[in-house]
Amino acid sequence: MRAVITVAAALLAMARPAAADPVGARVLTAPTAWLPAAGAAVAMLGVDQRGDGAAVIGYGLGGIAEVELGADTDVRGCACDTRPSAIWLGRAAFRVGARQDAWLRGMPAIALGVRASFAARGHEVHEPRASDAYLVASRDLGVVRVHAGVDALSAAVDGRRSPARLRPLAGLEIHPPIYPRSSLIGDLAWTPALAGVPTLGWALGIGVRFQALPWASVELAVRAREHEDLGASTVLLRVNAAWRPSAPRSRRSDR
Amino acid sequence: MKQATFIFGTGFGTGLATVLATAAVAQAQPAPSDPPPSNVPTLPSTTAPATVDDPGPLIGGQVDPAVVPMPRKTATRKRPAIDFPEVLTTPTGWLLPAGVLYSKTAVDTGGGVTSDNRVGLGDVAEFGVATTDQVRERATEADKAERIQPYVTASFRMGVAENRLFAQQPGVTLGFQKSFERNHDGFKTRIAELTLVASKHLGKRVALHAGGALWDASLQSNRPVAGTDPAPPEFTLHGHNYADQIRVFGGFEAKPLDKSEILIDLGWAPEFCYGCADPDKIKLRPELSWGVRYEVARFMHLESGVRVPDIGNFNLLDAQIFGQVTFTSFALRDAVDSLK
Repeated sequence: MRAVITVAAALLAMARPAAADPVGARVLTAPTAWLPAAGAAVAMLGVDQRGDGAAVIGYGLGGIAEVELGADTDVRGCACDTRPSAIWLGRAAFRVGARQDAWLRGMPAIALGVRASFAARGHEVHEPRASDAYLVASRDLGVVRVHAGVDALSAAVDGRRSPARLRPLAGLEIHPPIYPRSSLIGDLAWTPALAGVPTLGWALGIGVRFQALPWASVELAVRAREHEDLGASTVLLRVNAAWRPSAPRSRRSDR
Repeated sequence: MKQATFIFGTGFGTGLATVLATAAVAQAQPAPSDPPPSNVPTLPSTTAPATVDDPGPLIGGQVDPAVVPMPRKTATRKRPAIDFPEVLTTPTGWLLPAGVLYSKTAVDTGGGVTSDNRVGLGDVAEFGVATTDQVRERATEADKAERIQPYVTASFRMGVAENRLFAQQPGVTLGFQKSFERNHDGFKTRIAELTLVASKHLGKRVALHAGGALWDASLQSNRPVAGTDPAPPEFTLHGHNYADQIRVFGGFEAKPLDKSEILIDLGWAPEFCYGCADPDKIKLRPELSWGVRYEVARFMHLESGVRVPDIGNFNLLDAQIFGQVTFTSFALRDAVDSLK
């Protein structure tokens, strides 16, 4: 415990005042605490070798929140005893938080988010639902960016609900100075599995992000899940884009 | 069997139409200082005095002093700041300024589409018509509660603005909201709510709201009971215990940035249980909401957040993400002012 506190104190001591928060609502699966600028639009489109993926658009609400709408296949489900397969779930999310150094020097960015499913299609699972609420902190330490938090997840299938259960969230991004546009990324998160009774399983991801353009990045990653063999790991290709509005004088005070 | 669940069905079109219509109202009114369109013919003035130093026919570069364009008034009319009549779901102690039109349209992940339209009356009152999706129903106590929508209500609120009577006086409103009768699943239901709420700014960036509500509701089956009076009995919230009708609600607003506000409120909503025992047929359920309001433009605000119906039996799966757009317009006020 003392070692953990020492490391945390050292990281805080290393922290420099951040000029602006990075962009990106998630590492791979785990959410980050970065929030888009007021009026900024963000989009993420991902696909893996199975044809599953995600498509999400977001909007920066006043510089202190973000609302997201989209669909993804993070939730697995099955109406039988075989291995669960990916379910396309429409999901919306709302996140509110504070930027790095907003309240005091060295503080990480923090975000409180809620995600809720609202539509499902193209599968045999009856009435799948998944919601989670998380609190996550993110800090840019220069070479590395760390993310840590806790997630309360709840899911239901065919009228059977599971109570909310707490799970940790963690993410790490390494930005080697010799490759200023590339970063190594990895995260750990939990996702629901809706086979019979709803359960939770971890999802571990590791990959590379390349900042191809000032407003767009490409990610290539591998994700493994608790209830799947290592051979069933998926290779994910993802594109992220962010458009910031032009900055008229009246809006500069918001940032 | 393939399952396909979709929301945003018929109500979505209505909501979209409301948004577009309100946006048109908000923007169609030209600014008071705008000049008339140049293609509108004007009658020559017969009463205008002749110019003393009329230079006669103009030749290259000369300008007729009688038609020298006057410098345009660039000063824009000072608009009063609008304090919104609702936090997220609960009323505030603030009223819309006189003649101001207000329209809010919302959608959420539970499939709800609602609209709220109001007009400020003389700085002392407000009238509105709205649809709400907060009223819920369930067949039995064990069933999951579902919303009844659209549930149309009309409201009238009157009150005194903040600091109007004396310094540090909070804004106070007395409001009454009543629904039209709603027939759904073989039952007729109605709701009514009388609210008294006070709102106070604490500095420029924080505001608090606190109030009390007296609720009433009625539930009656449409099916006649065999062998008895053809009219089935009507169950009401009143007539039992005032404690079942009176609830306290409140809200909090913080403005960390000039155009962004964080909003939290706790309100109540009626729930009908058709198959429950008589005392439990109508219940008031607490509802917690939090979110952010962002001023996109002077006339347009975006709000988004999370709403948890029946926070007393908290279930994360019931949490709804909502998004709503609010338009405010001074068009009616300007039109009235122009008649004076």
